[in-house]
Amino acid sequence: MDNPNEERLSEAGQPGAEQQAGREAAALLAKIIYDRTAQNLVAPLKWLRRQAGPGMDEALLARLLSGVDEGKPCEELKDAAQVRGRKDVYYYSASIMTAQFARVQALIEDKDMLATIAEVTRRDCELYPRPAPFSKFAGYPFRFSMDELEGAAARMQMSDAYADIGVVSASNGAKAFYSSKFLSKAYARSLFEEIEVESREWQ
Amino acid sequence: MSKGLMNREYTRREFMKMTAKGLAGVSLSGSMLSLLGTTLAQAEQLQLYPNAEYLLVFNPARCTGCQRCELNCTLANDGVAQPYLSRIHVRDYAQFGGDVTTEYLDDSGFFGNFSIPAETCRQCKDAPCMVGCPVKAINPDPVTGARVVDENVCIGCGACVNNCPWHMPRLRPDTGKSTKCINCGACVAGCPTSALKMIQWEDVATAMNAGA
Amino acid sequence: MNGWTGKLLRVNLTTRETGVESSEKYFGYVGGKGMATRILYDEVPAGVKPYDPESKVVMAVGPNSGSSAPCSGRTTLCFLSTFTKGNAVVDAHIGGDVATQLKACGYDALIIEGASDVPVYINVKDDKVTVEDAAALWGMTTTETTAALCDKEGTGTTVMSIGKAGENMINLSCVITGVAHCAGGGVGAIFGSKKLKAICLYGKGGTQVADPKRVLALNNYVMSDLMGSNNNHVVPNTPQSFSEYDSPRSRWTGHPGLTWGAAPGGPVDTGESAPGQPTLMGYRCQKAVFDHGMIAEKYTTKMIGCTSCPVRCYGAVSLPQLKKFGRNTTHANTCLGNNPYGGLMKAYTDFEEEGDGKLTASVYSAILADDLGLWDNYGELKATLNYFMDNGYMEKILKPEEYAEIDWSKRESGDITFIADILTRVCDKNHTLSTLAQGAYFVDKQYHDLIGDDYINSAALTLWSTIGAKRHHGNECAAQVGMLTNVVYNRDGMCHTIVNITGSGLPYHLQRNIVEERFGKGCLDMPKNYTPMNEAKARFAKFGVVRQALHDSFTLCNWVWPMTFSPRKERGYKGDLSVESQYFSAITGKETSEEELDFMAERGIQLARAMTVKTYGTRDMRHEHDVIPEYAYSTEPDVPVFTEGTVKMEKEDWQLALSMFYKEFGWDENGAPTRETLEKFDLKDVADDLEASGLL
Repeated sequence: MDNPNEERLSEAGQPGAEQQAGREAAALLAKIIYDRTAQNLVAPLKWLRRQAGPGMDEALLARLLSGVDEGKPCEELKDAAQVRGRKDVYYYSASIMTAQFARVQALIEDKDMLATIAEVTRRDCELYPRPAPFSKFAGYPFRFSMDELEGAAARMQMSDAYADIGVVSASNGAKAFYSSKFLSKAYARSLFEEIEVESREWQ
Repeated sequence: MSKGLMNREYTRREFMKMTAKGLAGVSLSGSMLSLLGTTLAQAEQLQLYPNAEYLLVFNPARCTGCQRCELNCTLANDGVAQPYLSRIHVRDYAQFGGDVTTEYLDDSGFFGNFSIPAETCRQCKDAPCMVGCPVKAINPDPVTGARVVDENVCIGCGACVNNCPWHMPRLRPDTGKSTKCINCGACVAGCPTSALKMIQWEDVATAMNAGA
Repeated sequence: MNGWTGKLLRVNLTTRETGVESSEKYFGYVGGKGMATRILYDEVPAGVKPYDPESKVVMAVGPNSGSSAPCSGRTTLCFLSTFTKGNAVVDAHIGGDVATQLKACGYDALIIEGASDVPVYINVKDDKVTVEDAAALWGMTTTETTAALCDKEGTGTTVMSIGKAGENMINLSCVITGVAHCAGGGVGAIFGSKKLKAICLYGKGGTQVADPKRVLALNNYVMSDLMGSNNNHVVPNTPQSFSEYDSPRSRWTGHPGLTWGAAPGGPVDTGESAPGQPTLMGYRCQKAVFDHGMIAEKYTTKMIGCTSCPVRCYGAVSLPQLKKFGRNTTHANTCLGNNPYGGLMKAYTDFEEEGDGKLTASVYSAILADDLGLWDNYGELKATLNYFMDNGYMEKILKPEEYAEIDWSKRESGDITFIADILTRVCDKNHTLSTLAQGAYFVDKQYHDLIGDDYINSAALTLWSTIGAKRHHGNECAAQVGMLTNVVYNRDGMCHTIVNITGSGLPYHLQRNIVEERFGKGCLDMPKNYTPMNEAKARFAKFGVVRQALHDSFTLCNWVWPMTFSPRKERGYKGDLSVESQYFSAITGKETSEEELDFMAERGIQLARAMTVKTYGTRDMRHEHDVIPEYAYSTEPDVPVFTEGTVKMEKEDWQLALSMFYKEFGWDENGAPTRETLEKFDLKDVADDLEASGLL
């Protein structure tokens, strides 16, 4: 007696192969996202489209990623997660990157400096609480120049969207952003003095 | 010889051919650099000790002289934290890189350029410790290939210590019997800066085949 | 024997006799600080002064020292303070290889007594102990001494030595071992008074442990799940892929792209070292860059530190430009030790790029001070020298010829040889500048007519107490809690239990939730925004110093321990405060609870407090000892106390804080231990002694 399952498979033929191809594409996509994440970066959707080689057309990519977007990924993409930026959607492997770092990388990929500064500053002021030193944005992973930061601070003063973002200075001349939604200017200055001067003098 | 052993030996030979004159000038692939835990520039620093079992890599630029390897070695093997018995020697090289020279400020060690030329057992093919033992107390372990002291046979004469160019075996202060490295890996597992690596030949083969 | 060696080594420098005794009767004090304090109590009668031949130095380790536990390379030295009021008992702590080697030589403690007429060094090689001639070493720097003794006694020898400061009995002097590992508190001058130039240690033994597998498992647990970086900062300094949080205060400084720029053979990237990777954790702390700024990256050779410590908090730098000053070009240290006297300058001359002048001055001053064996007293000596320079007092206290021979313009012009001009004279007993290195209490006494009450009370000095003790740490961390941790000390408190929590890098609410679980609601206020005193804070402060005493006794480094927090999200960032007792049990084979171990550690604190009462000849510790200077009440004059933006103290609240803290320790309203309390800690003989002196 023939195996009934075998018979059905051979009858269905085409869909099985397609399913197999889909799984391979999903595994490849997962690897692309993982490798990108392993370099401490997120994978922008635009970039992923360019990576899609033979066997992964736009429609397939969209179908696979929509599973991730909806929180119902296929088995191969279970580790993938997404973060929505202003300019794109970004994917990463959640097993080797936190949502918070992915968020930071999304901000960096969006290349909207003012939005980046504002979002990070607001989070720091609300959560820790503390202002966000210019040196934080000058260092890894942001790497803005001090001139760029000075310019950003000036531009933010002129924008309603960033009306809450201000700058405080420590006694050594260092500067930090703060959000008046979460910290008074005096408190922000005092906390920044502690970060920048006092905690370093009294280690 | 099993297929695994043959492949291992083949990889070892290929690797030794490639690195016969040290790593300076050798074009190393990204996979190989990653396996060795180094950048191309840093690779010249590496001390490579290939033996039958694995490739031992020590990077004196990464060693920070914490001596956790010595403590872990003896705790794992002797049940006592006793740096003197350690089969890797850091302490005697940490301060001045060996003997105190007149130029010690420019030499290696904490008092010089901070490079720490620690010494560890190479498990030499014709190991002088093994060859020179008058009672044949040191023999290759059939499984690991390590040259292992049988303390029941050892008479504590110290020939192994003297014959080893790096004086790696130690005589236990209490019993007088010799003890040396058995490739257990406790030192590697406990190094907080990965200055020390034991790399399996299978992994070397993979990296060599991976190309760039 | 497991843990302890069970032996004390006694060396008499007057007779050059050495002897070995049992250490078992001191096991109830754990070891280290507790053991050494008790030995000092038993052997040095009240009234003896630090430089008397009857004065002793006791160096002790504990069952954990040298066991392989992370950060177990610390040794405690106990002696009479040279530099604070009353010359009461203090302890100092040294890292490097000393603890491991003292254990390897077979001893829990070394008692140094008597005094030699001629320079000597103590040479310990296992059970072979000799007192040797050191005439040829006298006058050498600590580096030269170490090289000479390693050349003579063996290159792996651990050498502890003094420099000119100790030889000349400058109160603020230290003992140095390895590169820059230092025991301060003035112990260098006591060595000098005994003509003891150095101690050499080389041992072939070790630390026996009852359950080696359990110790190895604990090491792995601590390094994988509990440890962050220096001060147990559990989040990285910059956002990193594995972390939810980051903090600019964190000493977990390593990150992709930051290198050991001067590593032999080319830069080594510090990369990411996520929790759970013990073989990478040595790349977390990048202290040269943290302390000096990014300019130090290209000069950083690597990180070093004490034996057994995976944190590596010493930033090792190589500055070729130091060659022209005729000095060693490399140095390694951490925190204030990275820049002890660079701040004596008013300006810096850059060499090749902006900022390298300041960096060079810092490292230059650190090398110089270590070679002289001069102790900075957590920045007090620099502050005192600056105070006298900035207020025009130098011209008034120095002899005219002394004043004239110093080129004071170098300070303004950025010529860093000024630092050497000052420090070498500070170490010359015949020069008036040396009077400024007596410690702030004695400086204040000698020059009070000139400087009035301002100096001792000044923010420039930042003492925690007018006994001449520096604030390290105090109200700048957790307000009253931090300040209270100093009270049990006759020098700077050095308690890091609390500052490691406030500096951990975790958001405030997480810190608070974790510590409130143990100490009660209200124990930890918002940063720079604190509330009046409560009992939870007193409990928290007591925990801080009891754990510190435990670490100094066990021994462990209180600059990293205890493991209050963890870098692991899966643990809710909660650490494990029972690890010390787990180690104690695994090492000694005596199953001991956290509470039992804390109790043993507290015994040493109770004894030290009773000794202070005896030395001071009064029970009134509140008004004679626990007196915070005026600056602490008057910073930020425009900001009201208990509001956002200040940690200044409030006078009535501080008195309440003391009362609550005294109560936690079982002391009376004077801050002195009662008989009941002393007897609870099996210190009946001490109670009897106080009673006989009319002090109970």
